Amino acid sequence: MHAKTFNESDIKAAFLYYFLYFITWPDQEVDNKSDPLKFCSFDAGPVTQTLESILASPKAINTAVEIHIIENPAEATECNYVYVDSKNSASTALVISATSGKSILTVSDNDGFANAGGMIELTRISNKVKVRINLEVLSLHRLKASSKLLKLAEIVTRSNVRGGIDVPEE
Amino acid sequence: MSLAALIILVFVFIRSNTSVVETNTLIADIVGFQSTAALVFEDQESGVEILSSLSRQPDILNATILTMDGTPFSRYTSSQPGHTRLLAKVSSSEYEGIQQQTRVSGVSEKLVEFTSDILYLSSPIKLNGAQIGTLNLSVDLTPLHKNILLLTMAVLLFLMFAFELAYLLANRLQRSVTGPIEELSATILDVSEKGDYTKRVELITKDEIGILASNFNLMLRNIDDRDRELEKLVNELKLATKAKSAFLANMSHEIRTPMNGILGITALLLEMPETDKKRAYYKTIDGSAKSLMQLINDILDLSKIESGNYNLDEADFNLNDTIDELQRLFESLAREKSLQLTFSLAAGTPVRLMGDSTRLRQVIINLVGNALKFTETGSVSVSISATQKDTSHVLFLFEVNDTGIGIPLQVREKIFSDFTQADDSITRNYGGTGLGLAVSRNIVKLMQGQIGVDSIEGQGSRFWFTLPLGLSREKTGIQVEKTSPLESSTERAAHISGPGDDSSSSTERAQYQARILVVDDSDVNQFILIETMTKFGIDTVAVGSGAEAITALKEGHFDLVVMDIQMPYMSGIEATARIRESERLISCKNPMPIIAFSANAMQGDRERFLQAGMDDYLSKPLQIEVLAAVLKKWLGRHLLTT
Repeated sequence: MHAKTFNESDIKAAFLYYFLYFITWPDQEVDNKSDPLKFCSFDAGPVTQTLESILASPKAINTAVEIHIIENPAEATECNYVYVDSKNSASTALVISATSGKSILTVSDNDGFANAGGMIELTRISNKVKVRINLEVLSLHRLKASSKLLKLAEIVTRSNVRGGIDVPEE
Repeated sequence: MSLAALIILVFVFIRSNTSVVETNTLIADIVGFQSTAALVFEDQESGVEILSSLSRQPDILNATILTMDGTPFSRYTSSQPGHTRLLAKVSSSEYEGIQQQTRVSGVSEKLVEFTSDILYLSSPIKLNGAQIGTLNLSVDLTPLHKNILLLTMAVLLFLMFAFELAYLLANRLQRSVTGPIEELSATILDVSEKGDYTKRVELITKDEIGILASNFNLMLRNIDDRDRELEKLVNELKLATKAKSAFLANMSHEIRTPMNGILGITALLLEMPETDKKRAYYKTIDGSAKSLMQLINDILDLSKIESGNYNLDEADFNLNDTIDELQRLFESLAREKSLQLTFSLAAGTPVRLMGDSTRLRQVIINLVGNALKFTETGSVSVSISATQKDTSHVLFLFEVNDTGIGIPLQVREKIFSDFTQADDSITRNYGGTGLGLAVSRNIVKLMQGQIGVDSIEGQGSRFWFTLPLGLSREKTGIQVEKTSPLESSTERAAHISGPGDDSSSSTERAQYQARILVVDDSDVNQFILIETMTKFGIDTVAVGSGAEAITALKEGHFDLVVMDIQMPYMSGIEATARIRESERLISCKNPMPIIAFSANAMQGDRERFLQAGMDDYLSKPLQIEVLAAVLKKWLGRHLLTT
């Protein structure tokens, strides 16, 4: 899993996979343990494919995950975990506003996603993938991030939120 | 106790090792857990940061997180100066084995490896049960070892303290338990070795041993009391014995004085021309009186020996003189019984000797007297021989052989016993043996000799005794008689059995023209002396004291003085000394011959008399033959030739 031996999409897929470990959803959002967690992606590209293959491996996390490819940001409301890839940057704001108020983890590799009110932003700094987390938004939506994750993430503050993209009305 | 300490130490060692493993496993778990995100998100900086938190664990040398393919993901190395040496060890090839192994493959299970001072720990990093990497830790064990060492020392110190305490306790216990026993035993040993029953056990404890000790003390006190009582009794007995001896001595002296009178008068009677019948009576009186006298003397001797007052003289004497005296003593008796009495001295026998000649004479007198008594016909012979013991001592063998009735075997052993007659039949058949043999046995024993008897019944007896005697230190004079013993014996025998005075019949005595002064406090003695002197035609004046004697000598002329020794107010010795003193004052050229007249027969006494200035000695009871010899010697020029 070393950066040098894997391409960026692999890394991003791994990140998306490991967020399942470090993020906790509130209990009522996942009604039943037997109900699978809905992962929604706007792109059926290599990241999603890799994630799917990781999840398919026998050693993978025992949480059942369903992967859905969505096209409309409104569909995101039905998901637990939404990934907005850079190719669908136009949908970013729409997804943020659509998921607002719901315990839906939003992850994107678009720059300024966290500042704009997104939860986790995957950013590329000096050839490495880094995580930016808008903790305020995360906790506002009753999602919990592991301290281990927070330890290596860049925390985006409220001022950043204000100074960035306008938060859509709820 | 040391085993317990060892067990404790081993336990502590294992426990502390387990504890260090547990602690560091926990640390590894926490660090691994914290580093999961960093690992999966490939955040090396974060990984380093997490590991750097290990700097708060001072014992951790270094830590490495490996990814699943064994590539080091992040490292931590202690910057403590004290860890430099161990870190070098960690990176050295010595430990490459474990490092290599974990580096290459990682571990799926926890791996713990101890070396002498480093603990290696490899722990898989897992994310929800799936391993995502490996954490390698190396831990410095020296602080732990230091702690164990400290603990060991503490335990050893405690042990030493415990041992010391145990020793002190044991010592105390020993003192309180075996101490009293040892003291008791020492006291018992002391008492039994020294026989000192005044000793007591000092340490009395309040236990059974104390009771034993106090009972032992009680026993000692009883023994001591008994000893004191016995000692008192013994002292009383000694005093009583002394009193008895003194009484006997006094009594025998008191008895001897009248006995001397009886004997003297009897001797005078025998001198008188009388009828045969009368002479026979006188002779019976004389014999009985002599027996009684002998008995008294023997009792005196025995009581002296018994009370330990019997002292032996140690003086030079000539054996020939002794033999001459004995011959003179027995010649008349032998002649009376028509027995041949011979004395023989073996060739080469030394005659100048040292010892108690009086006692020797006494023993021989007893034996010869006995032999003459129990022999009716034949002879009595005395043989003397000697073997040289060393340069100054000779062992003598005296033998008295007779041709008498002999002594039955069963009697032989008894005849030397004190106050024992062999049996009634002996008394009947042989007459009383008196105490002569008992006295003789005691004397010989005192003089370190032996005495015995061989006998064939009806053929005769051989009495013998051995006696160690000293050789005279005076080298002057002849050591050995020039004449052969046989010759001299023959000569003497001839002398004894030859024609001479027959004391049993009245004879004409040599007559002297002389005047004699007799000094004696006893009227009887005075009378006897006066009467006896009359036989020799001598004019005698008698006085009763030393003072009267001195006066008499001043006033009248005397040719000889016969002086009693034991007199009240002034002894014969003192009177003689005064007479000699006055003679010296007037430078007298012809000193008065003074003859001692005493019952004392000791060798020392005789010398004492001579030293006091006396010239000769007459023993009580007065024997006419001896007196005749003395008169002949000192009044030779007054002899009247007829």
